[in-house]
Amino acid sequence: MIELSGFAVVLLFIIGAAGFVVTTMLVGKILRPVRPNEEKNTTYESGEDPVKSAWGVFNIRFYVIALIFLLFETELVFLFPWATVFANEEMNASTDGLWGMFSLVETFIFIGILLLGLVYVWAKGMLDWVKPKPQKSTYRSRIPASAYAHINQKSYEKKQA
Amino acid sequence: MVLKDQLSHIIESLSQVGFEMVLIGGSLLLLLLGLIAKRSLVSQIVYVLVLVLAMTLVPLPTDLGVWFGGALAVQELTWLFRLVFSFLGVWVVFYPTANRHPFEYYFLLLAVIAGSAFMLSAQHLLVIYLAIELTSFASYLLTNFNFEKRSFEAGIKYLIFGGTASALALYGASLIYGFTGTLLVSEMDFALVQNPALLNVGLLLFIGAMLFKVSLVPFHIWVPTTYQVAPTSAVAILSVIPKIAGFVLLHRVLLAVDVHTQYWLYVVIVAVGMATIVIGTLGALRQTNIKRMIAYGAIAHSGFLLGALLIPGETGVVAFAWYALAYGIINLVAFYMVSVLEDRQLLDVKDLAGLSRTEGYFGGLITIVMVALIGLPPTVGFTIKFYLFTALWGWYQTVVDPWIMGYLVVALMSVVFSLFFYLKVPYFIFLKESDGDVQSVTNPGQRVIATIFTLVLLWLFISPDILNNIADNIKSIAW
Repeated sequence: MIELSGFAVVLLFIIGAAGFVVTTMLVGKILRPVRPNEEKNTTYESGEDPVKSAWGVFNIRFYVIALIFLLFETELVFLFPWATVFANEEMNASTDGLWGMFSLVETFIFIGILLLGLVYVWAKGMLDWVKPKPQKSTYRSRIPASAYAHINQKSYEKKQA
Repeated sequence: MVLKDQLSHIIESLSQVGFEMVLIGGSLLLLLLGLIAKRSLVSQIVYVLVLVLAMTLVPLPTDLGVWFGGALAVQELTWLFRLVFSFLGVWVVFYPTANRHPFEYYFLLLAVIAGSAFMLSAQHLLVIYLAIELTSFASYLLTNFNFEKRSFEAGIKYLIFGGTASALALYGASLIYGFTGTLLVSEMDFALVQNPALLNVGLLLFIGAMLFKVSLVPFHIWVPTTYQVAPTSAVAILSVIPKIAGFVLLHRVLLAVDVHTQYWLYVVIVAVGMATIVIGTLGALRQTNIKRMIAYGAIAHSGFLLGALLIPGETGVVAFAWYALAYGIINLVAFYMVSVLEDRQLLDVKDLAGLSRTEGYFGGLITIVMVALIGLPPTVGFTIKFYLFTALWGWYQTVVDPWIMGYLVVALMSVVFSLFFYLKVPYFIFLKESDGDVQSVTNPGQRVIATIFTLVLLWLFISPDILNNIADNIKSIAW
């Protein structure tokens, strides 16, 4: 059995990750049927037609939501290692339970600060998406609506014929 | 150390950072209050209360030591500057700058002070990095608090410079860790490294982040624009508190590296200091905007403070502490005057022409502050510069190093040149005639506050007991 240093483990992890991706893509390449068409070959842009430059201005709210998302993802990343050691019986026994109490308080402070951030953005209305407010026109036409309906009907019949 | 001892050590260490804990807790409370309360007076009161409470929790200089497994070293200077920071921080509530989001504004100011307080004692590479980042991020946001187009531009520039500096610093820290095998600055032994070329690169990169925080050349580029557009009360804090903290931190790192045995680094630091003084002074000569002029002056002052770091022993630490303290007070006063003028849109020196007809008294006070910034009697500006130059001269006679002589000459020349730009303000107020009508600028309350501020500068010159007391307390420190 070879002794591995911490750096070697990281290196193995990187090689493994790269190998996993390459293998999956290779297997896909071999197995899948290849029937390209124009729609399939265009850039995928969340279902929208990619018609102009990608450097357009996005709504600033995307960034706010993305930042808040990152915040809580980071929280989760930190909570996983915490959860694995928090209830470690050996550590708790050697410290008369101080370990568990300590890490619990520590994590709740951490979550509390993040929660404060969420409360803050929520109360400030950052999470409300702009809803379109249709404004009713105050203009009143003298031509009755039935006249338009009549014209529409006429042009429809013309098209049909 | 077994786990149980480690935990009780950490819990015991918490009593030493009561100051920082109150600042952080108070800032979070302020943010929550902002969701309920609407009046900006509430934010100011809570801000002052938090600072005063924090001040009472500063551990006494009898109770110092190394805490959190060596990550924080609480020294006499930590004690002194924690008190100074909270004291200086309180005064910005008197500035007449209008705030659009007062609760967030004071929240960020508290964050700056808390980050700087951590910089005072941090000696773990990652804690140093976190402390610098906490201060920086709050500063980037504070730059934008006038909510104008120009301030966004300045804020983005500041953010990009700062981001680059901190990324490089992080890389430098990783190199230092790789070569020395420890993250604790106090445990590093640079003499042990056989081939230190790469280590030295890492060291330079890491020191760069601190040079950025204390606005030394070549990391000074953000200063003039940021100071010009940021709210004046924020500038008063930013130009003093992170700067002093950055110098204390820089000194700790330089001491760990043992800068006096690493001659190349010594020369680099001296050259940086000289370039800072020259560029700050020459840059200020051309300015007509008062805020921008004082910003360039603040760059030059950074060069002076760096000089004090190079002098080992008692004279060095006393020169540094005096200079830092008095510079803090002078800057706070100067920016108070500026904020009063800014309130009436008088920021260009030409706008001040003939102001003496209505504001003779206030003009006199401004003159005293400018004299203090130059470093002439009868103000405390003279005391500190005189002591600093004496200390530099003493150190030159000990080592007979032409670099120190050069430093002294450059510093003295800078004082002469600074006469030209600082005195431009009184010149326009008293000697120029204005074309149009001159309105009165100040109200009685502002005149009273300005008088109190200015009297402090004169009083510290006439009876420097406070300065001497401080010197007695800190001169035993390892510097």
